[in-house]
Amino acid sequence: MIDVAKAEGEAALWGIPLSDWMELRVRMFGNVDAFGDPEFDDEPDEEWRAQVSHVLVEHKMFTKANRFTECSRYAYTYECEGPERHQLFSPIYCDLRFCPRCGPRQFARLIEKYMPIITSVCSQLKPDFLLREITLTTRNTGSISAHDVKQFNLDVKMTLKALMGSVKGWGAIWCDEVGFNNTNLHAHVLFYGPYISQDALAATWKEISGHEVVYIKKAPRRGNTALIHLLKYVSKPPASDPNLIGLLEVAFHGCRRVHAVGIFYNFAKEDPDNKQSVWTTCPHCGAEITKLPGAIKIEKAILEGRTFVGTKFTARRKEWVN
Amino acid sequence: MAEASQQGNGLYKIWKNPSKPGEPVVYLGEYRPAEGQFLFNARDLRELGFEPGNYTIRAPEGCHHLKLFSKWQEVSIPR
Repeated sequence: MIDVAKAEGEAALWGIPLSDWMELRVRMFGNVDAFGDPEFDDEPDEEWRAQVSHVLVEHKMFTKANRFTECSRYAYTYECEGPERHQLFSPIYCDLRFCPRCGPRQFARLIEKYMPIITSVCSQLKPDFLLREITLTTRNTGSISAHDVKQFNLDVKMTLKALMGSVKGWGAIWCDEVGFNNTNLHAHVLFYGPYISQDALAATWKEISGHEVVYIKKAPRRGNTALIHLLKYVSKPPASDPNLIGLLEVAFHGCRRVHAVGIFYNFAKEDPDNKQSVWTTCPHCGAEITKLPGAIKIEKAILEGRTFVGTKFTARRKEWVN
Repeated sequence: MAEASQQGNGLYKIWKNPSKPGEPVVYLGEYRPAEGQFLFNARDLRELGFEPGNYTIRAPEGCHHLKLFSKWQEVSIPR
């Protein structure tokens, strides 16, 4: 594949546009590998996805397996209703929790959902209330099941409620995480409320969950920094091992990774993807857009000169699970 | 310059092709040919002092003669 920085440097040095640099290469060498060899470059990714899908199939999650394998390979097509009839496309994503392509999109969506309440809380802190970062851990048993995840989330919720008792106005958002390439389930919690001692937190966590290790510290002063720090775990897969990624998808099937309680639950902004896409109208002329039937390969959509319009609302994604 | 270029007398750019795999492409600079000259042969390049080898030449941007001739020319100077 061409080294773009080197190509741009040479083109500038020689006083020619980059397109001429490429033409020159084609003339001299017969071809120019501008985008890499698709067969060669995609192979490791496809193989990795196939292995994840294999685990999903073994657990009879056939639809998820297919979605994971086909993520971003096909696109829905759209046409605007303006006089120019602009042709558009939207990739079909799998939206699975541990997909390396979908993670960053889920991160962006969750930031949009929770940032308003975090900003609001930070702008008018209650007396003696602060944002704190809490980590609640479990013992690593070497395996993880849907039951483990559900019980763990229940324990986190019960622990926070037990600690807060009759306190009003507190809230928390937490994100389930596992250690890299292991099954060490733990929760990163962004907590807003009064002071909690490490000892009280540890004792309550042990009483409710049976686990022992906890951490608590003051969150960064800027709430958005703390929120980004919390949600960054959603943006990247916690394993490179496809077998483990598959098992995590199975374990989290039907369970959210990101949870909110207290004021963060009550006042979180509605999920933006539940309501609309950013692209409700044609990005060229503003006319309404209409979905065309079927789906085509993503490379065909690009070669046809269609404009990328991000993710569009689909029936399946009425209910995002994160 | 723009006027000269449109007449085909702008600056032609010349590169030496690699003679074996792994060798870099060498940019040799610009050359303004005589008026009315659009095509180059081995003798032209020899007269300019180039050694045997393969060369690629790009015509100036916006030359009207590009409708008749290729923007790119390959010239080989034999040993």
